[in-house]
Amino acid sequence: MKDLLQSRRSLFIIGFLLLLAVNLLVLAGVAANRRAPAESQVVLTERELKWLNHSHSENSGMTLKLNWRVFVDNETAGLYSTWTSPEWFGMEKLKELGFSFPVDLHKNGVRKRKRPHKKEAVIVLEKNSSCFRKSVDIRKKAVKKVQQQLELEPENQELRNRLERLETQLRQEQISGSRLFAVDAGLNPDKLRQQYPDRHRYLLVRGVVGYRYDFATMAGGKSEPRGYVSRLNNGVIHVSLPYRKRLDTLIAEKKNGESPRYRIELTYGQRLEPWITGVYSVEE
Amino acid sequence: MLPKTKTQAQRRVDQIDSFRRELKQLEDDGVVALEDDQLGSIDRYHSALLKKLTEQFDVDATHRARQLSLGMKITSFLGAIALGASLFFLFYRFWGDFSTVTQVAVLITAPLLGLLAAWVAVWRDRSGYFAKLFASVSLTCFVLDLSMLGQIFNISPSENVFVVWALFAFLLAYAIDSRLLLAAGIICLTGYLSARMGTWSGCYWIDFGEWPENFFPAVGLLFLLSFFRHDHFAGFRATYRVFALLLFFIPALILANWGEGSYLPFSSDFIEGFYQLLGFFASAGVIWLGIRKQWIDMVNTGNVFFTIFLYTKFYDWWWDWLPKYLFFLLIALVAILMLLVFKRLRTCVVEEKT
Repeated sequence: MKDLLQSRRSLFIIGFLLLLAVNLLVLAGVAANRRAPAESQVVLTERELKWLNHSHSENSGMTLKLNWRVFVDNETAGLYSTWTSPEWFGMEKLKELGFSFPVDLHKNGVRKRKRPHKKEAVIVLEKNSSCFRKSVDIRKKAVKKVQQQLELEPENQELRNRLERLETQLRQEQISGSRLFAVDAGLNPDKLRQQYPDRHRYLLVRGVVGYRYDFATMAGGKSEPRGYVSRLNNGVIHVSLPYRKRLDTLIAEKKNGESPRYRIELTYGQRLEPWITGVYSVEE
Repeated sequence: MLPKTKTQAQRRVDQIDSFRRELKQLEDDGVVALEDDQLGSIDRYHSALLKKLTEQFDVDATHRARQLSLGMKITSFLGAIALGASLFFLFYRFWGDFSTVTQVAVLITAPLLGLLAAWVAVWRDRSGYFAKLFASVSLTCFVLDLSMLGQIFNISPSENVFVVWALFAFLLAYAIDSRLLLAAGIICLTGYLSARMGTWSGCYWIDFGEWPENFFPAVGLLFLLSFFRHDHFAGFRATYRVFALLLFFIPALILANWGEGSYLPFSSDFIEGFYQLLGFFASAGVIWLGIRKQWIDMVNTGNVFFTIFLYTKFYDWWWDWLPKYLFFLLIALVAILMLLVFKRLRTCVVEEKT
């Protein structure tokens, strides 16, 4: 009995040490991430960092969601087509990321799921990307095309509705569409940083990529796999108390319209984990 | 020889109680009549033993005490869950109003205080219920601690957090003899091993559940742990065994109906057939081993999964083409047949014991 009590005491002491050691390790990791110099630092607006409203729940914390996109060469695509495969994410990129594709994936026209099709990777997000200008141009062309059609068929109500929809999408794109686009992915952050050296324009973030089969390219019973960015590991960012108070003021000053109400300075550290280092009004 | 654990002590008390009642019955039936000094000697020995066992292990000496203990166990379990949930939501409700330093201080201090309370309770309360309550709260606070630190500092999620939680849960389970905390530790350890297996197989760790075979390595480890001696920890070996079996049979059942979730390089039909056969033979093997080793937990688990595999197969074969009344009649007849088989198995277990 005495031995049992003594061994219990040992277990409790080990438990205490475990709690302290793990917490110290976590905080040491945070310090290591925030050690200078920062990996990247950008200023994003409300378009790219959306405030998540928790007022309906019991969560008093404030978080911002990173709004990112991929470029889609399609006038009817929604504003945030994150599930679509971008042009740069073909077979070559998938092989570079280490995905393998077993033969005879198709048998009697049925696709077989034989290998895990998602993995962790480093995603390159570009701020004020040329993809945004291309996206706006596509929508402008779509609006112009329908306007020309409407001149020939002024009574066509379907065309009018379509024009209204496209004009709304164009306005949303220009005013509130995120300027942050995923433009590349890789496994080695150092190598990616060499390719994209501008630390105030390109963010390297950890995320999950995957592939699926694009039925649009299907021919003869086989289809080419296309990659897509599934999610970002740190897609939701916590706002600490001092910045939260400033942000609360900026959000309260204007109603939630289409134009952004604030700008956030976001810094990424050595472990590609982000934190907020500044909150400003749009005018500052 | 005095018992080493509370469970052994309780068994001894129940044995004494049964002996006393059986002896009275035998005397009433005129089968035996002990001398007064013999009865007195036995009674004095039992009274002294009961007193010692009650002082040392806080056992239930009477039926009423046993009923109250059961109530205390249930209350302690529900109290631990409610207190844990309350702490979770309390922190969520107010954390946004704290500075980062305060948040971190609260998160780190909470599990330490819970652990301290559990430690004090172990020494002050022999029943063990308060120690289990505080230990459960400490584990909940530790889970909250690492989860919230991850949110506050936007730390990338990692499967390593499971192994830390598992280690803490195991420490607590062995410190206060709690099967609930052992189960929590097993679940966390399984999560870690499966996530690792998933990563080695090339998938993102969070998606480990999409490939049921990721759970199989944990089966071997848990079964191995059940072979270690656990003299002072009642029910621990059975807990390891049952979880090992669950982690084998549930994935096997899933793959028996969904071959696409397997890593095996064969067609889905072949994989489903393979796991169906494996499920049947494995459950039968588990029942046989359980009878041989007198591990009733294995016999029961094997029975349950044998039945599930069987009924799943019946559904596949007959649901579409048999009239519904005939389908359920067949199920009922099979159930009756299985009752006869289980009765026979039960007789075997009893015979093996005697």
